[in-house]
Amino acid sequence: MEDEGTLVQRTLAGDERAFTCLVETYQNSVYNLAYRMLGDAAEAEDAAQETFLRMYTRLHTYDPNRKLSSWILSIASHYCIDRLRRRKHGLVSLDDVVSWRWLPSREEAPEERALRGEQRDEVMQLLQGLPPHYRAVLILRYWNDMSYEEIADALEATQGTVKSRLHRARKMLAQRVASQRGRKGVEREDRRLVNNAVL
Amino acid sequence: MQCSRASELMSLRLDGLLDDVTQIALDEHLASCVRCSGEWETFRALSRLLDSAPTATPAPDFVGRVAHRLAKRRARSKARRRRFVLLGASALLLLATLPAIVTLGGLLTDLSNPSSIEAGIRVVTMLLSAISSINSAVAHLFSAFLSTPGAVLVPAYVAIALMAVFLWGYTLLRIQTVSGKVGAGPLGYRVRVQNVQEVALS
Repeated sequence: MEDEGTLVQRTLAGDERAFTCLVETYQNSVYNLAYRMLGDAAEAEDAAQETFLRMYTRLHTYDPNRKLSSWILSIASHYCIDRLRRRKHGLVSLDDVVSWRWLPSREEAPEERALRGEQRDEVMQLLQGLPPHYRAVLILRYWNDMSYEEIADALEATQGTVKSRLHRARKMLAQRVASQRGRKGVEREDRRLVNNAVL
Repeated sequence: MQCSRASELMSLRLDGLLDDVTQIALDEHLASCVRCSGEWETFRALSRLLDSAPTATPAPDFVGRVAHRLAKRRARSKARRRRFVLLGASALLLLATLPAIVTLGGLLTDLSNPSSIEAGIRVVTMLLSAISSINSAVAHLFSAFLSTPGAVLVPAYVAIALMAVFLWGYTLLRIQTVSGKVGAGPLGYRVRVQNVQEVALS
């Protein structure tokens, strides 16, 4: 397999197969980032595609001294943050409107599916409750296993900002989990009281 | 150690960024503070949950869809460039024609000068011969224009030229819409339709 630098050079020279190789290499990390950021499969597909198109058109600005994965994930995270901002302000352009068709996922046992679905929902719910910049650092840290330095490079922030955002994101998630636990505890207590009253 | 400082250190510890001395100090604080030790347990549980969450992967043939979209976008930008060139050419044509129209109008309005009338007729004759392919109906229309006062004739010409350029531009936009299968109107609205498949979690 050719190294990334050669693939970049070949893509710049107009070799579409080289570009395809780059997409193949980074499709999962870009798609995962978009999916975790946007919380929707169709939007994630669209955002991931858009990321690679932007990568293609801006490849001449790529600095070879920079890690290619950080650069691509930087494009993806900025695009997703921008998209979330537009969504928040109700400025969804017609370009962002996507149609989709659902395909059956690969076969799974019902229990496995339920368990995975439950876990996925929990993670997605937690992430969706965070501000976009906090969500981005968590995703890059946990799913892309990036160091503080790499995250700072991808998000064009300082390492101090990354450190602080990671801490605040964890703190917010912990508070959310604690409040959920508290709510569940109250609900359980209510049910117990109702059952006792009935008996 | 203050609880706020302990909370920051917990985050760093999860990422393996604490030195031994700080880690011991944190452990001592956690042993003596119920609130912080509770937070630490939640941090760890959250970290385990996020660590075990699967990577979402796109539906098969993602690469093919990206290539298809890239090809479509290239075609669109090429067509857009062509459209701008044609519109620019139209504008230049109009600019080049305007002086001629104004001159013609001036000649025709100066009816007190017989040589101007002759020159005007010569120009009209030349024009008519140049556009010999235009049928007699247009010729009649042109004659009707000749009988119209110059003050009306020149603005009318300009208005017709502007309308022609606008219609030309509009037609180009519509052609682009149909050929690119992209719903694009003259106001710039675009609706892209594409197949997007469900996420398949690995």
